[in-house]
Amino acid sequence: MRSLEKLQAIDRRILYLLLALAVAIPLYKPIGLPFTVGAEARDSFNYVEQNIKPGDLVLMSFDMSTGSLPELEPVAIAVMAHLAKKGASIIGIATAPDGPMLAWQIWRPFEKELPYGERFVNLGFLAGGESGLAAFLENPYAVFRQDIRGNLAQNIPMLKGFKDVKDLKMMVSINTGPTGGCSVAQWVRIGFTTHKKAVWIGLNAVMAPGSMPYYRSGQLKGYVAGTRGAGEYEMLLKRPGLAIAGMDAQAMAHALIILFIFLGNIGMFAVKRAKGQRGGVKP
Amino acid sequence: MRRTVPGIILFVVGFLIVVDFFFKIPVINNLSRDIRNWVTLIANIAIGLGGANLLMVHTRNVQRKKREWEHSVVLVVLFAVTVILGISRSTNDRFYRFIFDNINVPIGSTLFATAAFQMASASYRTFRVRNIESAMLLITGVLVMLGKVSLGEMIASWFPALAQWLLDVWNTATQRGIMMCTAIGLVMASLRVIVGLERSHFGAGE
Repeated sequence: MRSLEKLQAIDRRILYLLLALAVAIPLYKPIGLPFTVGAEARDSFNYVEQNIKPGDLVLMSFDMSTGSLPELEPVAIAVMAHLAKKGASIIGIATAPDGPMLAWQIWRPFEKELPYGERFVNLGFLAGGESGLAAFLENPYAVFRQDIRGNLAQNIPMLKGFKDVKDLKMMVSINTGPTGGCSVAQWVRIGFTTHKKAVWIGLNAVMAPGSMPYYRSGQLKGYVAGTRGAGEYEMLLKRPGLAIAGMDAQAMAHALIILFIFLGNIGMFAVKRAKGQRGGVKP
Repeated sequence: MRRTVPGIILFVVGFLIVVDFFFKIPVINNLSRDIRNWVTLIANIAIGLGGANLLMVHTRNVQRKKREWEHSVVLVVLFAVTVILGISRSTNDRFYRFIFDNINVPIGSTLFATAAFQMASASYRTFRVRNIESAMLLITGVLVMLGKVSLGEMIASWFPALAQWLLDVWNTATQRGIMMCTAIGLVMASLRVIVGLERSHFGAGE
């Protein structure tokens, strides 16, 4: 019984070590656990597949911080690859300060498919949150006179046909959350409610439950959450990448945490029994 | 005066923005558009002000050798280098990129990853079946955790569907309730600010 009681006070360093192994080993040697594509990723993929035509202008906002990069980079890469494949031109902005630098990192592998100035432009950081976004969509060149490289925005070839929000086909936000820039709710308010544009969001898994109502109500046309969502998208795109590689690690980490929760509860009931108290669920 | 003038500005700006949203009146729509453009300008100035304030606070820490002043030295030096490089050679400069890629990105990712370890430890210590509510929370949490990874599909094919049902029905319904309440509360709070009933954001009185 004493050994069972110890289960509720396992040294956290043991948990940390096991968690590190549970993540590292599958990343080093993938297990290849099977997974099916969910409705959300499929709908998000289909929206781009069916609605984006060559030459369409898509606003892609890198509302992300360096902290969320490991989780959001696969989402951003997957959707950028899809947009590149469909022939869209991408106007990059960022409502989070780290965003413009991360946009380079994400765009770099697509340098040939999306030549700078012709099919991709990085306009930089947009301050002012929701109001800043509203101002940009109505009068982009009053907000960004130059791109991040110092080129006059109105002289950039791919921006010739971009006067305001009406010229955009879709808006994509790779979103860390309200601490990193415009939140999902703000994108819905400005992009969908005010301008009736399709809004497509890639977000951290932890933000998914809070953003789900917008997707269910049709205010979001795309909704890809975390590593799992990105993995499903990569699968649909037939372009295995960072997310699929991380799926096994995520599964192992979840399994380990559930195992520890289970052990902790066994320990708690063992202590209760030892103290002569009645275990189980109390009303 | 310190409160009256900002109060009048706030009322006019708030009124214009609200009217602009609901009505098509060219004069008001144009004014509202200009105000939104000013916001980006003010926000940029605020960022500069925040940076200057941060620099002042940490420079003072170093001068007065306050507790952990060594950290302030690191901040001041890196702040100065980053700002000077960014302004003089642009954010495309390779030294600027080097700082961002090799300091900012690894630190940010490490901190985020550390949070996962802390969350794992916290889950282990707090998810205990102490009553009906905690049992429901635990069961739901485990079902969603399993259903959202490929392991759940291996255990039972219905796991993902069950996790999705919990998210779609129970979670969405609850989140909508919270959103509605928050939105109504926000409208009331905004109205109080616009009409001047709420003045605490102006700071101390005259």
